[in-house]
Amino acid sequence: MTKTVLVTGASSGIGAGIVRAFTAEGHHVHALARRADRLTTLAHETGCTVHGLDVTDAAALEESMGAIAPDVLVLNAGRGAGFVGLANTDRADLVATIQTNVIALLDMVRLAIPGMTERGHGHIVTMGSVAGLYSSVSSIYGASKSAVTMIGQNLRLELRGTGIRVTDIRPGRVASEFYDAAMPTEEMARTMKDSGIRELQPADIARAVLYAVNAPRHVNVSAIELQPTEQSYGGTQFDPIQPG
Amino acid sequence: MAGTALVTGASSGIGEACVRALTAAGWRVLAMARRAEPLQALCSDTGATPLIADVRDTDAVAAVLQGQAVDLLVNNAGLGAGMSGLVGASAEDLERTIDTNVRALLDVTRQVLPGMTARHRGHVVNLGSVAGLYPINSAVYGGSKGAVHLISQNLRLELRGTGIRVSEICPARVATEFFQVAIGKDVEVPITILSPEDIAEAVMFAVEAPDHVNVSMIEIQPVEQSFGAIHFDALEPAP
Repeated sequence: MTKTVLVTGASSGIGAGIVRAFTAEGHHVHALARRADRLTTLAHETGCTVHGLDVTDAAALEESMGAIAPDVLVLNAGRGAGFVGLANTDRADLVATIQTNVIALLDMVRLAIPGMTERGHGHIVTMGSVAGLYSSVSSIYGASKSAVTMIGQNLRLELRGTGIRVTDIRPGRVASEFYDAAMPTEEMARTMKDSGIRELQPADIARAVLYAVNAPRHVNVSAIELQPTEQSYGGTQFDPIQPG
Repeated sequence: MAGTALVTGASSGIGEACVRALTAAGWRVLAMARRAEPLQALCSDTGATPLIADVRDTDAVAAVLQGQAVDLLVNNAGLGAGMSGLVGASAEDLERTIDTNVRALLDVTRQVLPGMTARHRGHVVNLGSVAGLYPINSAVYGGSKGAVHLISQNLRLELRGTGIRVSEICPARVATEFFQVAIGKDVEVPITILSPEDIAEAVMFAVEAPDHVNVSMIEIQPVEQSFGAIHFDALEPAP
């Protein structure tokens, strides 16, 4: 069955990978991103329909959501901040991260629910993160992704009996442009990106999304956490207080 | 890349479905269970090798695994005695559930890991449960599956740098003998529940992921099942 799929943050990385995977299976994909020029290239390659708009633009979203009526909504748009420490992060960066990762995501879901409920089916796929499960180096980013995971859990309860499925994908390190935008300098981005391991690729995340979306109708693959085999989380730190 | 898989609790339900899915995908499967009869039938049907042993019996497990190089361990054996509440549970219910779901899972894994570490190859798939993630009114079973959740997280840390993957599959309601074993009767719910094959699909998704990917956790539930709600229960005066 051909589905109408709306993917946010579609111009690069995980989003573009998801667009490629859905179009390859013959679904009708609407790719949404701010950078319309980059979407054009993706459209030439995949045949997706392009929407050059910002997920934080609620009015524009409302119009598009009504027109597109997606069966599958992949909420991938997100940004990182605070990897240099909360005290070293601009307020504007903090606000923009919560706005994109949390408020815009809630807005999209809010706008999608009535149509999905009316149609009696729908699938909302959120892009969480291991950063929402385990503490690492950014309270801002971690908090925004914890919010995504809790939004999913609450939505499954709110939407019970509607047939709408909610899936949260929680990746570890993915090879993408994420840190280019999240770090204050190119040098810091380069250092941050140099993990020295075999990272996840956007296609790995896309495969997880498709597994959840292609599951039989009675099944909700509610969460998938995936990470590079060479990445792990946790440990205890002991740090004696330095004299002030 | 298929190799040798060990599936515990293989004689029925999710374990049986995993044996069928793995053999169909070309794995050499060691199917472990206590009950010889259903296990033999499954093995003649699928070509799996029957290993008759109780996962709780350390020596018996060691004996049947003698000389076997296990590449994939599916820790599926588990049960839910004491599902009707802690107060209603017997000491024996607690013993069986914790011993099987927690101690035996750790013990089988402990026996299999050195070989995996030596061969720089391995995958441990633990069957957890949504009962280990959300309170669903099962202190005993939920407690045991909460332990499986933390065991999986800690193992990923312990095994870092070895190339061994650890995945946890957390299903909600599945059509198996679970309630028959747990409380002596089936529990009907008015929804379409998961089949053992749905869970085997999730296991295979994790198993067949490329080498560099660890699908560390999959939570899977019927679309018609959800978890949560807040309860306010005003205290009734004592009689």
